[in-house]
Amino acid sequence: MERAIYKTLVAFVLVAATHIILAFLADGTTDQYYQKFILPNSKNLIFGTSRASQGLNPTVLNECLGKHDFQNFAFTLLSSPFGEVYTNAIKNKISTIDSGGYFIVAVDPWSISKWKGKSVAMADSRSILSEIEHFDRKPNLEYLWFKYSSGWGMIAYRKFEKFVLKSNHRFFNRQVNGSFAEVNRDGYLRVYPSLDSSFVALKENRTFGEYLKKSKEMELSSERIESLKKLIQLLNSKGKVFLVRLPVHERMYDIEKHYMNDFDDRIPELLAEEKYYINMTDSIFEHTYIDGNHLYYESALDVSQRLAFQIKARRN
Amino acid sequence: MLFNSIEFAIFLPLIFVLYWFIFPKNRKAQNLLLVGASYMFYGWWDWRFLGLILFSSILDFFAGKFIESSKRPKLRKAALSISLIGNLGLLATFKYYDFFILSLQDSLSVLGVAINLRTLNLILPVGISFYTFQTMSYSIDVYRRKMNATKSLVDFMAFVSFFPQLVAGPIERASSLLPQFGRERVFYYSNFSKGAALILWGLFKKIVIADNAAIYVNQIFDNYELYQGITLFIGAFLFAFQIYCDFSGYSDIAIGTALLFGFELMRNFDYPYFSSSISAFWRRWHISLSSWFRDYLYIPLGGSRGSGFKRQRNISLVFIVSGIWHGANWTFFIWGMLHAIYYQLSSIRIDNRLKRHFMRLPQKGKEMFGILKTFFVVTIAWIFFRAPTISEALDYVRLLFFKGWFFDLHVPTPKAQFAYTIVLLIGFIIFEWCSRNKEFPLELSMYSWKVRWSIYYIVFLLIITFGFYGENEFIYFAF
Repeated sequence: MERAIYKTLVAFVLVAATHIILAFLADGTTDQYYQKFILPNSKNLIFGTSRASQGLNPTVLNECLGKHDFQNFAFTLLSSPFGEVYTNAIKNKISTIDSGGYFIVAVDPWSISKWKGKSVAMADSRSILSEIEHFDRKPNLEYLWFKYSSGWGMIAYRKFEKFVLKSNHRFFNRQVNGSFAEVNRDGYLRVYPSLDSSFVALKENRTFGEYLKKSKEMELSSERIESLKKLIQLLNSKGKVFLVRLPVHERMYDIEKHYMNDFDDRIPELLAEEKYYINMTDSIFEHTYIDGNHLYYESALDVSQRLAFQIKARRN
Repeated sequence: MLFNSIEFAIFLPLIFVLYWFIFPKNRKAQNLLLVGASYMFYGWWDWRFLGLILFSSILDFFAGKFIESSKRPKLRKAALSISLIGNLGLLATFKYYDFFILSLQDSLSVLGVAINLRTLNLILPVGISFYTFQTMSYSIDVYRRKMNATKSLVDFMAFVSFFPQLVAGPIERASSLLPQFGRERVFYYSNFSKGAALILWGLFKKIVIADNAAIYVNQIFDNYELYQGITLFIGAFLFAFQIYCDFSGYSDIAIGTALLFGFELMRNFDYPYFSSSISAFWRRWHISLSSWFRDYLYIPLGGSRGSGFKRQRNISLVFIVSGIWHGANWTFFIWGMLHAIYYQLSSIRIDNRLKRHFMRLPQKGKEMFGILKTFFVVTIAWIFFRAPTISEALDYVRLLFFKGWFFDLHVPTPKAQFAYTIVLLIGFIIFEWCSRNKEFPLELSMYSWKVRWSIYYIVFLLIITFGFYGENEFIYFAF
């Protein structure tokens, strides 16, 4: 029996040590969220859904606005529509800030909507942010334990896989229709998509179909609007807030116009001054999209730069 | 409770500590603990169905006592009948009633007779086919005077509900497992280490091979009409390994867990895909069920005695019943039928030029050809096992053979995961092939501790890297 206990303890130590080492390896290659859970608190933040996560590049904003610590804290439509869960996460993220912050909040009709007949609380309970209290710990064991959906060995595998894919991404994206993503150190989600036109068309059609369906099954949520309003108040107390609507493919834009025609009138009402709402949809034809919904990397850099100039122009 | 769940990871060490440290030399208390643990294990899924296990246990315990004590053959037979009717009645009600009613309605509607009979729409209690067969073997063996009836209700309840094998087998014979509950338990380190290695290997098979394969099997089978022949073949190939690794993985964990508590369960799989004939396959696949049917159905029907026709009839009947045992669906009936046909065909002696050429092949070549041939026909039969309806299965087979076989592989997504699933599967097949003379591949007692621990550690790393962490249920829970 002593031998069994001894061997069990050795195995236990080995298992625990392996997991601790793997936790320290976790970074932006781990999944599309983890990096955002380990960044130190910052004064300058980007909020929103996947459009902002892939569309607003903190490095460009830093360069243009003379900052050094912009962070992208945007997630996905499932995880970060405006609501109590996202607001609480943001509260945690800015808890150490007193004033002087710059906050860019990306808005679109979907992030203030909910599924018809379903409660906001129910939908938001599936968010990656729900029940997480710490967003600035490295390694973030809370996230890895509760939210990471694979075994921790996958952390090392993904690191290796992303290294190989990134080094040869043009070859892979040409040979295999697909894409892969990595979160930069500033929280920006960099997607490496296939450049094949038929693949892009396929993805676009899938996205448009999906959003057409959403436009029938979702509706404006007063609860989400209220949350956005409260979030703006909270952020206003700590710095300057800019609401921004990012460009999307024209067909997507048409779906959104049809779904929520008064969106551009409704949003400025939430702000103290209309000038802090930056609508960038007038440049939709000037950009490239990976699936009709998200900006292609080069376009994201361009949009981030244009946004920075607009912020500069309006901040005083 | 699932073996691949956090709950079980807490439950197992807890019961282990209570079993060996709190009641180390108290057999009765240990058995009582096992009954409580087993009921908790089962009740975690749905406590309401604990009543069925209790009913089956009490019925067969008293039936066994009565059969043994009664001197009159008629009374003995009556008691056995009550036991069989009770157990088969449970199965008929919960598993087959709706199926037969709907089949009857369909058949009559073809003849122009419209009837509307009520279905029960009952939930299928997990493991009902396993524990009812296990308890029936007890009543039958006592009736046949192959064993004495047990005097302890607690021992018998522990035998029926023993949590390692309660929900998906191996289906143990009372004559083998029940006496083990009557013996004092002694802790052997060899049992402990073998049990732990079996659990590790079973987990690897389940969450690395079976669960990864399942992602693509589901994609391909659910949208089979979109794919070309070669992709459909890959779908069937992956399902063959999904079901093998899922079920044999469960058996390994069950046997390993039982060993931790000092119990030996029967081996359920013996590298079945390396069988060079259908008869060999059935000696090596789900051994506990095949031997159950052999002992309690095939031999009572006459077995291989009598005319050739009778023998063939008996074999066909066993395969068909075995098919239906798996599920209340005509697809399982066809799956059983197909194996019956394979079996019959394999027993026909062919003597032609082709065969004579084949006989000249070296032994290794003949063996390899037999293995590939057997695997191929078994895989085709699995399509009927997996497809939801017979027409979909037939369509799948048709497209597999006649829709663009070459140079038209459509890789399902996620592609990177597909690639490593195939690599892992190939590695797994090679590892099993090299270990085929051992009881299980992680039986490494002949190597030094450094080699042993290195291999265990590699398997552990593969589990935490490529394992699926979504608590996928085991396929055989549905049977």
